[in-house]
Amino acid sequence: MTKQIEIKKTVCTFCSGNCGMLVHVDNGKIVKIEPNRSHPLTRGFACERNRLALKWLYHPDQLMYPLKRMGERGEGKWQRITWDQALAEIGDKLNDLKAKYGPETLGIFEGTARGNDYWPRGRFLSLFGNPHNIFAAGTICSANVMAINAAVMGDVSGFAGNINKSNCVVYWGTDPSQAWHRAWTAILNQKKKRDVKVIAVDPRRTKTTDIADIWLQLRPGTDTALALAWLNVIINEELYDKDFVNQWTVGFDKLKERVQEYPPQRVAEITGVPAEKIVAAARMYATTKPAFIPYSVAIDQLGLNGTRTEQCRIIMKAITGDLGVWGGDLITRPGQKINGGKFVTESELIMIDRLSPDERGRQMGADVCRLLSLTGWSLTSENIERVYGVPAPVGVQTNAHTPMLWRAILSGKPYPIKALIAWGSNPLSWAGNIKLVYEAMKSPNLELNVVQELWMTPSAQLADYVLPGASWMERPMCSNMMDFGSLVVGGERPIPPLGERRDIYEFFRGLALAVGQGEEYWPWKTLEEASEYRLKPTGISFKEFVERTILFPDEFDMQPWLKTGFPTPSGKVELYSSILEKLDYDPLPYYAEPPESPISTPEVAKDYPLILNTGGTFMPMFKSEFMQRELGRVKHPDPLMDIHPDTAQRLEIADGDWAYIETRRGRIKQKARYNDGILPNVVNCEANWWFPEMSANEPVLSGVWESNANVLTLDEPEACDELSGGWCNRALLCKVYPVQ
Amino acid sequence: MTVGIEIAESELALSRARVYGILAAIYSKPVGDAELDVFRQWWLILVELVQGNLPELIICGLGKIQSCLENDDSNTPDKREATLQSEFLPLFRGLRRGTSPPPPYESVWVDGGFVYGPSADRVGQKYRQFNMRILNNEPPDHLALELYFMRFLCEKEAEARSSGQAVQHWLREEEDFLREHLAPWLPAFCESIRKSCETPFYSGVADITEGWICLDQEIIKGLTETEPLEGVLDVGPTTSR
Repeated sequence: MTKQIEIKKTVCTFCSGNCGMLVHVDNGKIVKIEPNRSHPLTRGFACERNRLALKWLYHPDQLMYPLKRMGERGEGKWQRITWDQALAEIGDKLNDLKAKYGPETLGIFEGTARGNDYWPRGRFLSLFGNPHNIFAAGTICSANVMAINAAVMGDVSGFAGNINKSNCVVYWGTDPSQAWHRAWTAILNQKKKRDVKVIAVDPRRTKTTDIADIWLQLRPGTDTALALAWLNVIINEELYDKDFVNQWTVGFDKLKERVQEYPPQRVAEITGVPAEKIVAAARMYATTKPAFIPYSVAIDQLGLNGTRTEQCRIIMKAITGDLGVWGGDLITRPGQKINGGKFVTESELIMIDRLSPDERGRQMGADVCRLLSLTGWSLTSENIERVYGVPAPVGVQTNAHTPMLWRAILSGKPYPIKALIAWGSNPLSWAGNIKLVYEAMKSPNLELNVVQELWMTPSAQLADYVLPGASWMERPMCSNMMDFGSLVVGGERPIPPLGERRDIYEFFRGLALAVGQGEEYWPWKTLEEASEYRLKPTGISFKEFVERTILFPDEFDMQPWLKTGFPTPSGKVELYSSILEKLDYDPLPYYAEPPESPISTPEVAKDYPLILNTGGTFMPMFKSEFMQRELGRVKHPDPLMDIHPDTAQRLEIADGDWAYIETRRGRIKQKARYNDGILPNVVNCEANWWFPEMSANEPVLSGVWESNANVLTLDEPEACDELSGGWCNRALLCKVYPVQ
Repeated sequence: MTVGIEIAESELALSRARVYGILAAIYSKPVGDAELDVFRQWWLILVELVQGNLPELIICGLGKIQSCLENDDSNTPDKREATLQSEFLPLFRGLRRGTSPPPPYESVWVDGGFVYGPSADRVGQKYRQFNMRILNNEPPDHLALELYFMRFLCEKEAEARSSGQAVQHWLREEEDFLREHLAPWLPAFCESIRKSCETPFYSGVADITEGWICLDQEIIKGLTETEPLEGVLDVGPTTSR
């Protein structure tokens, strides 16, 4: 028999990088995955995750068939059922609960799905009458960034840049050597070639701080104060771009007045960073053109200060004239034409207009974290629609308030949540304060819990139905990256889903039909057909798209505001945000002391004297994925806590010893890793650990209680970010002691 | 020990096919009580096949299964069905990591722990050679599919015998498939089932599976050596434990 290898073009979505891949298929089996060197954006880049892709896909623990719970939740007793049975039963139950409690009684859970097809669940919810009760890790991972960008300048910044053209890069709360390999490779190459300046802001030493020209080692959680001090320096020393400020911003005087509250000397006391270093860094950033501040997830996880830090960063980019220049912060806009027509956006497919303003106001948390809710989205979207002709990204720019959800399940207030559907999401790993998550998921108040997953995660173990999902190697993709911009990326389906897995479109379409939404709303039987529909206005077929792998807008206007103005109420970058004001927030950024700190809670600090940061990934781990021993833990088998050697020795903990880390919420253990580049009063725990090799059943639940830092994190509503509802994964108080 | 078998050759092949079919069905999905009853009858075939001189492992397995089927207050058909249902997926689909064996894919046991390994390729190629197609996109080397394939080969052998055609080809296929694809990993897998299962039923199934694969290799060996059969087959020493 002649061996015929087919080569399928697609993009990897193990992270959000969407690197072009060539997938070699032999008789329906993937035999090799190699980077696509002719991909116009990623040009042959691949990381360790790609090298593990085949082992990942063909891992024997991957789910293949629909399962229905037989015993108690968590008991691990399942029966295999058909998709038809699963969808029929789930659909009936959803309709029943909707009739009793209203459509808002359903919550959808999602992680960093990265297939970029968020619209099927959005469309399902709109047609169900649900106010988009979407509880997502996005709240602490970029959704808030999109929302504050939309409020302040209407466009999105921070996600696109060109390091090869940058003369200064600010890694603020991120270590690309572990989190973003493509960017890391780029900055290393540039550093070798020329004098590109690097500024790192991080409480602990990393590979990134090692290559930095200036490293600001701040006290965790004080980032907003630091950012305001930079603004103080930039404004008072007149290092800003006066033309841009005059022509394209509003509220400069009020901002100037606000930043006077944050002189470097005062901020030095808050952050622990010497004032002269703060000044030097601000000067370097403002005077080394062009400069780029890439996105970093750590900022989103600061609780009270999360989105405010991002607001400062947007303001910095704007007033220094670094927006829309090569090497600076590129802005992205949805709705631009491709081949003379507009690719149909996610927001258009989501049909949010099916929901009245009153119905949107029922979104969980809409009156609390108003910016990230549909309330905030409605305000920003009208400007974006005015300028671009398409709604603002509703798919990922709005989230319900996750900490409220658990309390609503348990208390029935503000209204009962009776059903959850999670797709590719493991909240027992990523959500804050997971003891509460567990309590809610076990509660009899929760009458239906459905999980679509690739693995039997601890969260899936507590479900009533577990349905197998398809990975990026088993589904096509044709996406404008969640409406972030107008670029269309993706590829074909390399192989049909293994076993009985289904992609996310097929899942939600099946569910929609099961609750009676009607085929007229779901006319496309497959994701390929839906992709054809989205491409139709461009005149480009799905097949041609696959060949090209990427579609660029007809015009790439670096500074589109010159023609259209910014899509904000004033048409300018609103340093003093009228949208925040309308939402009854302070329109200007300000610093709030972290809710748990030696300063705000000195009585707690007596018993819990160390400052705890959680997070910091390692390759190839991504969020809570790649935790299988055979995959992501070959070189990194155990969870690690960075601790200063002096502190550790005082606590009688040797390098490599297991140690307990305890907060007021609970206790975990991780192995101590000496790091003389971390502040002596700070420890850093890796996040999201679970142990797939351990028993999946109660009470073990794949070891989710052993080392997962979210046992420790803080999600009290008053501690959360007022703008987004983001909870505190950073800047907590803890104590550390040896495991005896 | 010598086991005497007095049975027409085509009937012998069909009976062996039925045994493989029963085993395959058991590994395919959880069994209900009605099916169990049918299976019990088929076990009688097994007994008849070797005229009561069953290997100890199979006797032991049949005993475990029989004990499972005896009704009392704590073991009603409903309870039994529920228990077998909940046992099935952890044991045969790898759903209880940490306490259950890896799922019964040959690749997982032979090729380093992952599905769709080289063994699966070879098995898939073998199926294609006989124009067999797998439904539901299942990896071809799942134990149930490999047992079904053995049933298919035995049925083909029976057909050949009935129509007076040569059977050496089919015997060789059976022998090769057992040697290359089932025998190398089944003992380890069956041992892990015995260690992991909570009810005697699947422990008994593991005993019978392991015992049967050994026994059938002996039967095939005997058939190959004595072909054409004269109605009586002497099977050499059987495995016992």
